[in-house]
Amino acid sequence: MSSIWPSAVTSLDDHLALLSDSLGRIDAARLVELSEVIEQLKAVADSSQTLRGLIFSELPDATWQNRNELEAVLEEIAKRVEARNIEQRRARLRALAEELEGGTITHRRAARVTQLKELRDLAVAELRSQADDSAPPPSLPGPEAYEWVEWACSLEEPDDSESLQAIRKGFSILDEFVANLEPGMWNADALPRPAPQGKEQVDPLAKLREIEQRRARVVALAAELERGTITHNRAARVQQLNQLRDEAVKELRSQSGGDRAPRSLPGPDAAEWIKWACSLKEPEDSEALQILRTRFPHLDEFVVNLEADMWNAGGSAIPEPPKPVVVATTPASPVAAKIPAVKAAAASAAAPAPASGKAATAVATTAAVAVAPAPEQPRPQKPAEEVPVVVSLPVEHTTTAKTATAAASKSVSETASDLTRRLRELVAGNLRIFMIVAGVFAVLLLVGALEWSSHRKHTGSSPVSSVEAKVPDNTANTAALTAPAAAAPAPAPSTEKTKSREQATNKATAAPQPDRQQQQPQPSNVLDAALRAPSAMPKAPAPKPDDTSAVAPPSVNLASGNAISNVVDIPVSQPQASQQKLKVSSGVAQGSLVHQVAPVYPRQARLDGIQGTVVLQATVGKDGRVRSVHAMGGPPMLVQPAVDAVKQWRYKPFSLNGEPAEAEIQINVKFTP
Amino acid sequence: MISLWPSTISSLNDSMAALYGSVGKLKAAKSVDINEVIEQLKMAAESSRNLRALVLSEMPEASWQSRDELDALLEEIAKRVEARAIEQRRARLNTLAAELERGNIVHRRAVRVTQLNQLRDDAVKELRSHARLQSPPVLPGPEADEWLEWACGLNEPQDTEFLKALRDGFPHVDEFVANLEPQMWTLKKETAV
Repeated sequence: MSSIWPSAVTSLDDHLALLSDSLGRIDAARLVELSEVIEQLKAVADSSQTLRGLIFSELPDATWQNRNELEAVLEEIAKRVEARNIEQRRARLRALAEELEGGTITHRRAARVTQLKELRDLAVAELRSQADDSAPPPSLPGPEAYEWVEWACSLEEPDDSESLQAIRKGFSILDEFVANLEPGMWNADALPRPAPQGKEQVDPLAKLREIEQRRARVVALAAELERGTITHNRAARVQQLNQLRDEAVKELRSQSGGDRAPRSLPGPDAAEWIKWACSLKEPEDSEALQILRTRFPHLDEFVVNLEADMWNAGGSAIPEPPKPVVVATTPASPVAAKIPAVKAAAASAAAPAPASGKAATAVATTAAVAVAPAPEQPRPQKPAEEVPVVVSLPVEHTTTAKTATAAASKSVSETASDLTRRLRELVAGNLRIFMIVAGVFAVLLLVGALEWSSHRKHTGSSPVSSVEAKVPDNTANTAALTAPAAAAPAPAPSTEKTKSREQATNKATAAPQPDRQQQQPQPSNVLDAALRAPSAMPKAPAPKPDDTSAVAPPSVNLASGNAISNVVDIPVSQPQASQQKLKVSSGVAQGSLVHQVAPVYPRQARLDGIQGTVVLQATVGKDGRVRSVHAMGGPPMLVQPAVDAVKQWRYKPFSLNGEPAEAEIQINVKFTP
Repeated sequence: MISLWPSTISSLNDSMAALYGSVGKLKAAKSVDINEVIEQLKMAAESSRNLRALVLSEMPEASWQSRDELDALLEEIAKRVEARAIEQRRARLNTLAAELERGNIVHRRAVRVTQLNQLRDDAVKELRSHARLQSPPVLPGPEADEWLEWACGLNEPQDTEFLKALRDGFPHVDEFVANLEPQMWTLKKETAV
């Protein structure tokens, strides 16, 4: 049987088989429905005529007398058609090679462009090599050359596995090229394109108008996306969505820019678009979703991940204090624009390029200290920065600071006020002075800590009220969370800086200061308060001689993206002469933590929605190992994993009067699904 | 192929042959007159229907699935029909023998009557002898009660075929009717019971 026109030949044979069966019944004098047999006969005649017509269309002078001769004719034709197909395949490959050569690649990075061009050149060489090879070239799936790149870039696994497999198998370099190429990077050459068949000539002006309308729609949506804000109880999720949003905006801008007509964007106007897109459902809205997916893959990805209630249009989302995390959309956010001083401070902090991250951290931290006393002001949005850092955002202050004497408190308050004022001046522009003051401040803290230590030796230890800090997500951006509490937040320049600041904070906390018992707020408290941005600071703390400061504990970030949020809440306790155990503050503990193991969130607990904070009392040995851990409270199912994890933690050995000492710390391990 | 219903079977075979020829052309993607082929199909279907009716008239309970089974069935029917024809031939000979015995011969000469009676007896013997054969020969002519009249009316050369068949198959019967004139033959009166 010939391989050509399989449908025609098969159709003939199938109809013949049916007819033969009926004829056999007639020949055997059996009952038949004559009208059916006549129809079968006509079908055979039609198939026969079709095949005959096909043969003559290929070989007009063909002659044959029987089926065997017909088969021979079909074989001959098959060879001709195969040869022609091979030539067509070659022509297709050459056309695509030409198309690839004619197009240009755009990308923000020159190196990427170079890389893609190299891949393109290799792909072109591969196509030409396949086309010129004496062996039949593999069949290239997809549309004509002028549409091929767009088509190939839109292929997705697993939906288009077959096409992708065909490309990968026959044209590995071409596959590599299109795998690396994003549709927005490719600018097809202005080669003449085949006009769509069967369509009337379109009015050029109308076409232009339509293109402009499309462009305006795309631009409007990009602006709308930039204006809006995303809210979520996880900062990491906000960051992820912001990144997706940025990519969507880029995609839209890319579509709207350049000489090429932007793709038609489905859906309503920009103001209603997100709501509309978030309401699309499969399979009801498959058509719109398919269009969106094909034409605007990044935008589609963004809205796929976005829930309607996460989106606040027009940058109006300044969250209420209890709400977890709100991250501003862009650095040019209106909220951020309202705090030029902060921006200037941040800029000035970043501009001189401090020699070390530590220095920058000091600046940032000090700035935070300076602005901390203004907790009542609305929380501005932090410019979107990818800084997964340790965050401690207290939404409630559970403990009233009980410290020191009123006089001492006043003295320190004055000192802090003075520092604040000076720092504000520094933030306004004089970075150098700002840094000097920061250094002075650090020295003051150190001296204060030494004096405090000396004072404690004489007065004995005093119980400490811990300040519990609850954090929705430990991956939240410190700056983002710190800023809302402050009138003029200083965004952390980088993750390292933020971490350094945290360490600096810890160091400051670790250094006991006699002033702490006498002043309110104490410098270290100011630091912590600034970092934690309490919504309500204790206004009139009852001074207790034996109380330390209201030390807000730092959080411990175990792993970015981890569902478990651990808050190490370590109450500060003073060394007791009778006991050789040192009660270590959270800052010291955090700063001394050298090895940390994340607790395992029991699967059943996660499934059952069990969450909460496990409060542990741990004793750290002289070698820094956790000697014992006692659960003080928390969901029973979560206690053991928390204990197991904390037992593996390691600290730098603590010392008391220069001698290694055991330390007692309280650790809060928070589990959030 | 059996000899039964030759016209019907031949008609079917002929129309099927023509039809297969046309279908062969269609199979080879050659041009055909589709209306002509449809007519061939109709003829074949009619012959097929006739043959089927004949088969079922002979064997109402008959069933078959293919041409081979049909042929086997036709063979079976042919045997039945052949046996029935033999019996019919045998019965015919016996009936004629009885008819010959039942009649009287009248002639003005007693010798001639004796002579004809002897010939009649020989003819009766011949008929009964043939009737006992496994396959009795076919006696031409009408039924027994009309047979002598028919036989005496045969003339040469017009009825040579019948006369020859009679002479070859039943020489004594032929000798009897050759000497018998129609007016010499009278049937005995039936005895009233």
